[in-house]
Amino acid sequence: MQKKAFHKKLVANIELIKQELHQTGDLIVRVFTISFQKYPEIKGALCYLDGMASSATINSEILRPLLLDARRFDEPPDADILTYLSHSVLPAGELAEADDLESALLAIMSGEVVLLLDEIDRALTVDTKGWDRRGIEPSQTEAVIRGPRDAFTESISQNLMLVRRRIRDPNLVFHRMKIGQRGRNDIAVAYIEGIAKPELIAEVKNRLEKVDMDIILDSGYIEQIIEDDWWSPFNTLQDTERPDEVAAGLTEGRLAIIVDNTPFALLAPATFNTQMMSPEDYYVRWPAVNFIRIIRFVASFVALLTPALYIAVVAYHPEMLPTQLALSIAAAREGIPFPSFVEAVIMELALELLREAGLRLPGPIGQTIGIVGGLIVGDAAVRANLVSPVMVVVVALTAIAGFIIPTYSLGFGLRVTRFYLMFMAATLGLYGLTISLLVLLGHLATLTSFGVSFLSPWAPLNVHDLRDSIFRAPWHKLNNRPSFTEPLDQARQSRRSKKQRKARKR
Amino acid sequence: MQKPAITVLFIFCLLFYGGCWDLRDIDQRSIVLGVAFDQTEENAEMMMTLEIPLLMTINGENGANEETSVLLSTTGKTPAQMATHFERRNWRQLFFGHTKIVLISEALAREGIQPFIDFFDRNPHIDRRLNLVIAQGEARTVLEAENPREPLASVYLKNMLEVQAKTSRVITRNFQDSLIRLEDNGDAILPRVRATETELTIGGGALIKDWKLIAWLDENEARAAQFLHNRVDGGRMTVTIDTMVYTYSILTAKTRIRPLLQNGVLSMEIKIESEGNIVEVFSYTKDHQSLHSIKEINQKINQLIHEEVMHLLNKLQYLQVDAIGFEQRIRRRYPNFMRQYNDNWSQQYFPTLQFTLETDFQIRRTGILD
Amino acid sequence: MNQSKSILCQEVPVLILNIILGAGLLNLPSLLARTAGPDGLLALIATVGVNLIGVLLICLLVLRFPDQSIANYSPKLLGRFCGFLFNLTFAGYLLFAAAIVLREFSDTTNVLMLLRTPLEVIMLTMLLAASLLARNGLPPIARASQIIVLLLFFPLLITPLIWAIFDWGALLPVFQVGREAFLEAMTTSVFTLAGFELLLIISPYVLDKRRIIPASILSVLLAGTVAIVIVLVTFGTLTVDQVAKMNDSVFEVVKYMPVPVLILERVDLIFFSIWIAAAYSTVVILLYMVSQQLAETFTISSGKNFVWPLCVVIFFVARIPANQQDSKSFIQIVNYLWIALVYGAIPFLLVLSIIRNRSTAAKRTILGKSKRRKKTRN
Repeated sequence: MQKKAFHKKLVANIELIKQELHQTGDLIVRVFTISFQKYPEIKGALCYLDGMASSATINSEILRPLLLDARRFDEPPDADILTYLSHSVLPAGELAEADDLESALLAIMSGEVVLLLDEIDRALTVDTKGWDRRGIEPSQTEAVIRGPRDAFTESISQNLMLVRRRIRDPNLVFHRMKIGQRGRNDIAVAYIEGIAKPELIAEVKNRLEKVDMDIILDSGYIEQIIEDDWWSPFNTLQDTERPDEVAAGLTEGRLAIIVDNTPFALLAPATFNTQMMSPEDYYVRWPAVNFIRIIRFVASFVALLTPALYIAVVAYHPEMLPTQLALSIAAAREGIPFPSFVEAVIMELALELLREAGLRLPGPIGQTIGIVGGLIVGDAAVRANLVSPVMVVVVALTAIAGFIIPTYSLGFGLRVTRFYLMFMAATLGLYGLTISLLVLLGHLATLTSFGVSFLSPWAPLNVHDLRDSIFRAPWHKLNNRPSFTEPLDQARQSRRSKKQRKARKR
Repeated sequence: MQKPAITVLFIFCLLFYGGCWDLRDIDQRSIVLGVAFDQTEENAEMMMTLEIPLLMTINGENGANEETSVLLSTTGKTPAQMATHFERRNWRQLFFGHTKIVLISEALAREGIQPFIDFFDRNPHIDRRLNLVIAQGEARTVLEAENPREPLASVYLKNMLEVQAKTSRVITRNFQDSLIRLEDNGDAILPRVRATETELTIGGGALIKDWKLIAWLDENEARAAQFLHNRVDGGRMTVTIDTMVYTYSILTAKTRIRPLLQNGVLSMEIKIESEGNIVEVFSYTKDHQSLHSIKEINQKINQLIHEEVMHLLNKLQYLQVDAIGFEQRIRRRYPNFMRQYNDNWSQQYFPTLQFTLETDFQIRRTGILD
Repeated sequence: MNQSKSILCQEVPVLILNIILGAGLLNLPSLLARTAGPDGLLALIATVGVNLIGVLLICLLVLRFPDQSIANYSPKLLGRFCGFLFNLTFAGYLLFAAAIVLREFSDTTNVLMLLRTPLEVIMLTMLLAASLLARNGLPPIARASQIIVLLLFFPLLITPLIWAIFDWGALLPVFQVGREAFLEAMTTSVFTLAGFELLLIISPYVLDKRRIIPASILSVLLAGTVAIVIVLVTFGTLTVDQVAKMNDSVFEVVKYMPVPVLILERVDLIFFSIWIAAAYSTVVILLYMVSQQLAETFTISSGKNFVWPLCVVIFFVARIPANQQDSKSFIQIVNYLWIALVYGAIPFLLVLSIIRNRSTAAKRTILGKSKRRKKTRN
């Protein structure tokens, strides 16, 4: 496709832009005249979109110099008035020349101002982006007690700033690209040159370049298009809205994909292990963290298995329970019209309903729903002999355990898998449960994230990375970066800090 | 990739609609806690009684006075046949996964306990740690006995057997223990239970020879048997020296039985080691000068236990019952020696087998008093 | 990318352990007790020793052709037709082995866990589950196996509980059975420890081939140790007579073991689940082996598409025996086939390869490579 060029005439150019934008209502064209002391007047025009560009910036940094200050300047050199303006007159920080219509239009769409002059077939684009943006607020989905509170916002420049502020390394690279034929959305691939594996960087860029979506509204679009296995209920790219998590990921040799208009950045590669970590794990002292991490891993199994185990044991193998417990469960189930599988499915579905309802309703009402659903409906169901009290305990346990998993997407995967396990447990008892768990294991073993096994560091066994898995070693034992990303520079801290620690002890 | 998904979905549906072959909820099963076998008047048949808890009253909501379990009885020729009879009468399937106690009445046991074993041995749900108990008198009356503290008789019995193990006055061998012994030569010592009007008494043992009950063991003999089984886990013994009664409490006990073949003469070496405390000195004329030395008390205790064990051994030899498995031990140690006594060992050799019994009971502490 | 197909040398023992510790292990104590009584333990130890020689032979053959699997070099050694025939026989053996494992597994499940569920359903669900992983090639299988191996060592945690019922005396008397009974015990137990012929197929994908000998010897030793411990424990707790009476004595030990009641009264079904995992990994690896062997026999790049048709064949083969006693004689046939393969065909191929001296060039390159690597390290 041949690029459309500008005309010589200003009026023609304005007409051209208007036509290209289909006379859109939010286009503002400001026509003006620049008069120099010893030079004939030049007609010019500014084109920008209402609301996208900041009118204050336009007034102070473009119109004022052009209309008022230009009078004081001498005759411009013969060379080119446009170059002269950009070099000597306009005080704006980000300026570029646009030779063709496409780039000028894109600039307008991005909130920049296009400056057109009569008799010149090029344009000047000035960065005046000034739309309203949300301020930096604490993270909603990954709240921590100890640690920084700031979270990403919808603005990519702000997000990049949040990362850059944490890593002042000249090797930190933001590779900017625009994806989406219609959306032309900004995307930045962040990595640290010299840590991240070059093949990995190339692979991520390669996959991103192949994305051919018309619009990217959230990083979820990118995630689902570039992931290794679209069949899986588990996500192989980690989403986070925490800049500290991204910064930590970058220094581990991972890549971050930051997408404009969404507070969720993506980290690649991501494994089951990395998604079970919370940034807080690194801020709190290690003995406490290890305790929490063990609980977290246990919780993931509890969330996954409890209802299925309940079905398998109660409906197939009651001999496993201690006699007293078996008797009281049997007594509690006495008079309940449904088989245990139906009972479990009803309660688990009710739990999911409550969750969704609580999310969709406005804040204060959402909490009410939780209380009404959890306490009143649960109690009423038990009293009406619809479900047994033991089942309520089981469901409550899964719900609580489910919330402990730090990554929302991973929790989602486990929630979906839970129903599959329940189904198999209902059909074939403990055998069915074991077989379905093995299928799950086989699936997880097959999953990769940019070539990294999803089960790393457990399979294939990576003894070095085990230091930061179920257990987190104290910082002075974590001298090297995790090796699943195969970082170029392995040392995270020199051995010196260890020596200092020893010296202090003496 | 879509085809496999549809196939998998299809298989899931097929499994579920046609499946769930073994699904039976816990409240749809009759949990059999105890089984009792009795003789009936018509000698050809026997009676099987099951204790099944009533789920409605388990949680005690309907008042404590109500029955918590039912006893179902039926007659038949074999246990499996009787189980089928039950299923015809019961509205729920019998479930033996939580069976704690299998009781055999005295009368049946005298004719042989072999026929009752296989039904339980073959069932995959059976807990191999359940207790095979011989009831003195009727077995059903044991399950009928009312125990205010634990309404379920079988659970009560099981708990009693576990708690009483600390007194060493009951035989603590479970189903599999007994099976190992019984299937070796048909001799064993099983726990005994008696039901009186007011309570259940667990203590002593039933001596089985060739799968048949031939004698009872009282509680002291049971203790000796426990020593020989190396299952003593506590218990108290009293010795009287002059007028002082000393109570010795066993902390640990260990028995080693070793066959010894010297110059063609076989003897069994039995060595019992124990440690314990003195927990009481009972006397009307107590003063510290008259206390006996630990050495003296030790000697007396050793003498007591020596007598008890020798008494049991003599009884076993007299009855020609190798319930401890001496023959098995010798067979393992001296297989060539044993070949000459293939079948008639218990009649020919066992009654004259030499025992050298060594007891080493040590008092470690005497409480806070000297 | 070659990387995506290959596995690390550390994963070789994992795979071998997984394939050996499979369905047959449950039956092993009873088999030994029936044939050789208390001498069964000695027979097992002897078998492990013999298998060490077997695995060494396989390693030597494998190292002569480091970048090829057996399907590639057997035609070179035996001639085209004979090689093809040999490859098919090998594939057939693997197929039968998979069918046996499946059948044994399903029978035991039917006896112990799901009494009324049809045998076919158990076999089909197992096959389906296994095929899903077997289709994905070697590295995922190796990864899944690694996790399963960890599970297999979990039962070690409860061994202290066994001491209460363990009796060393029950292992006596030894050296009582005749030579024939001892040999019979060895030949029947040898198949339980089979599986290291896996090396013949996966060797081209192993990255660090110089460590293949220690790795595979280690794995056979480890698997042998596990088997010996299992037999020791069952004999010592239940006595040989009881073990001979039972079919799956290992679970009876667990049922007999005094377990402190914490959450569960009976842990035997937990053991059963772990054992399902072991059987699953065995079936997966066997499925992969058959498909790979067939693919390479017919020079097709990937065995992926063989897996599902093979599942159907294995299902019908596994259905052949009418009852448990029938399947025992079925096992005997495959057992002798295995012995003929490992102790007949492999040494024969090894001798052929030495005589024809065809592999000298290959050998030179591998030695040269290793020397070069050492230099670069220095």
